Amino acid sequence: MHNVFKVFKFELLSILNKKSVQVTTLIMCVVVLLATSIPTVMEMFSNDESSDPDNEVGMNMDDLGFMSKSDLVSIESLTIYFGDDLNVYTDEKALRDDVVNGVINNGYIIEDTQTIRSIVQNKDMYSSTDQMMISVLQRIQRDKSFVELGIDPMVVDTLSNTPITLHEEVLGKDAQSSFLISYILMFAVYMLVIMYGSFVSTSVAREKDNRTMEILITSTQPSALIIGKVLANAIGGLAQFSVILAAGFIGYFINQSNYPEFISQMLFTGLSWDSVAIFLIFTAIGYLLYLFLYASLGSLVSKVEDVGTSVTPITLLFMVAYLIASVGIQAPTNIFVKIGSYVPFTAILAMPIRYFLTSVPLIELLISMTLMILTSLGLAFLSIKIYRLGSLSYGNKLGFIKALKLIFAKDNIDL
Amino acid sequence: MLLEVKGINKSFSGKQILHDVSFTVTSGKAMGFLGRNGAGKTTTIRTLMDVFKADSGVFLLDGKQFIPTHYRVGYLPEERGLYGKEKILNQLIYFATLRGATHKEAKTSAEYWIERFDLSYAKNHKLETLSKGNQQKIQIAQSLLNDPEIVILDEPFSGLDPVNSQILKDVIVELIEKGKLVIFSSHQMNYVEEFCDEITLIDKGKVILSGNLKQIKAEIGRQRLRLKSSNYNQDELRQYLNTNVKDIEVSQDKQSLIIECLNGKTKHDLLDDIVKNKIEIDLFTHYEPSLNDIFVTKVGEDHA
Repeated sequence: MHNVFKVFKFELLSILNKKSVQVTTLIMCVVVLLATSIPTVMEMFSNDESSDPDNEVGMNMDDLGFMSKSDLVSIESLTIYFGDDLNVYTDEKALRDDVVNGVINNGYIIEDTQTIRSIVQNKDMYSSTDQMMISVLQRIQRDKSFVELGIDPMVVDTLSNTPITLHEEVLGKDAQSSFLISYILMFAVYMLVIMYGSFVSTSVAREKDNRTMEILITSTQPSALIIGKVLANAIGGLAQFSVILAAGFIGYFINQSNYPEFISQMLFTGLSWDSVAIFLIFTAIGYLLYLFLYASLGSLVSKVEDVGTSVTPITLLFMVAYLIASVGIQAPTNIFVKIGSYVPFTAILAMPIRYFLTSVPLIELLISMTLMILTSLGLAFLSIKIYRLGSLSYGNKLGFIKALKLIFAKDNIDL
Repeated sequence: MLLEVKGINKSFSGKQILHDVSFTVTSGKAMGFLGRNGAGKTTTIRTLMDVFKADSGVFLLDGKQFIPTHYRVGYLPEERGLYGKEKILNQLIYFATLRGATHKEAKTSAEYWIERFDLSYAKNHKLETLSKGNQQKIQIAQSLLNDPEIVILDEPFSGLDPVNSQILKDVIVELIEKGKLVIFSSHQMNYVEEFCDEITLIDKGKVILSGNLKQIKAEIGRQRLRLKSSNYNQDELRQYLNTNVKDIEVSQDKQSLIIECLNGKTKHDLLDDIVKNKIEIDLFTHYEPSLNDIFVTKVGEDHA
């Protein structure tokens, strides 16, 4: 065990001293700081536009032209909704010419009570004026009918807009408020595992590649080497991640005043101490589980460049975990999510998501946790065996199945 | 200390590589483990170091099972390798502490060997920035950390220039003087001969010769004599002897003719023949074979 610490210290220092790690951390911090400043930047730009006084419907009426061919819908009735300064046309050609020449953007010709033609030169992706015209016309028709029936349209409006207050009391979990924080944390864990997983397998394979392995395994036990290495990468990863996360928090607090109220609420109301604890426990166990899996597959190859292909299955497996968790965010009670929260490889994401969004009984948490710990131990044992086995077979890439057969067929490896 | 290697067999995928390899090494004497490329030297050393498990056979140190990690063993593997991107001093300290030294001891030991190999200027450089020969010296330094009781060097001379080879020879001689148990493998006989007390010759996974080098030389040289004449050149003399003197076998090397007496013929008989035939003696002495001769003879015999 003493040597585990020595390996751990050496590996951790070599990770932290790596220029590439330092530079990546710095770049990531800058990116995160910039990203958290987006609301402030948006605020600065939107301030410029809001200085332009708009009319009541929020549209620039100079860009619109109107013409009515129907006796039943007069231009005057439109002024109630669009204001008095309307560009009114009596000739369709004049309206078309103005659209073509860019005097106005959009011309509306009211054919009859139920048909409007919109004449436009270049149609924007998002145009709300069409919808507005349709509702205005509908409203004119409605009011007219009410008047014919002897009902005051204003009274109808007042009655249909009676304010109702909803007092909500959520006894379990509020999926709405936990949504954003779940998503952020899930993504963070995803990045953590994928990034540091490949670090571990590379660092295991590197020693075979540069032939340091023979010196190492004759100097200390393979278990000390693998465990020390995995822990060093795990802690190195967490350290880097914490720095980036801290940058995120700093960025958030600097720009806090410019964040819409609901985002701040979603970020922090979903967080309770127990959910943070569950998240940390499952992430820690699952993280180690995946790192040992990465270490096993890294031990199979003898060249660093083969690591990429060797670890692809894990990356795919972890993507399945990610998908299940994504489903979980939308539908935390889904049966797949429930099953996924027991399977050790997917529980890392699925169980915290379930816990955030719904109520999970303690016994389920314990079962899932136990399964994960047992699997991690199994994988740690396996990775040590494969690592030792790998030292005997330089050259060809060892298949995972073949390695398992060799380990269990003949106990010729002494640890 | 006495290290006994007894009846080691090892196969890889059904092919037997080592056949009953046995030899002994005592501390205070260097044992040269010699053989051609692919003879089984590295495999023997790897099984000794527990990198591979032997199929059968035992390694005993003073009668007890030898487990490398239980002793201070310095090992230079044939496959050289260290961390290229790590500072030299740092990684040597790391290896020393892994083998049980405290950080302070490790640092002292690492600095001593870096200094000894004239690489003090580079102790904070990354290993990969050094030339191949200098990297090789760091590899050797690695095997000498922590004042090991047992030093096992697999092909330590390969890749070293004459100056560095001399430094290494001095180091090995020093280790022997300090009473360490030293095993090193080589196929370069001339390096080995100078300071080797014991040799083990291996070919095709079988030990074909093992023992004290002086005794081996004496045994193989017995009944053989060197002869050089001033009135005949080497070829003429050889021809002359072949036709005029019975019961001898004549061979030669660059230095002189080598005559082996057969069928009970003694040195005196041979000397009489020489005098009778009026051969003027320039050199008449015992023949002591070089290690290279022994190697070629023995490996040749085995191949025949």
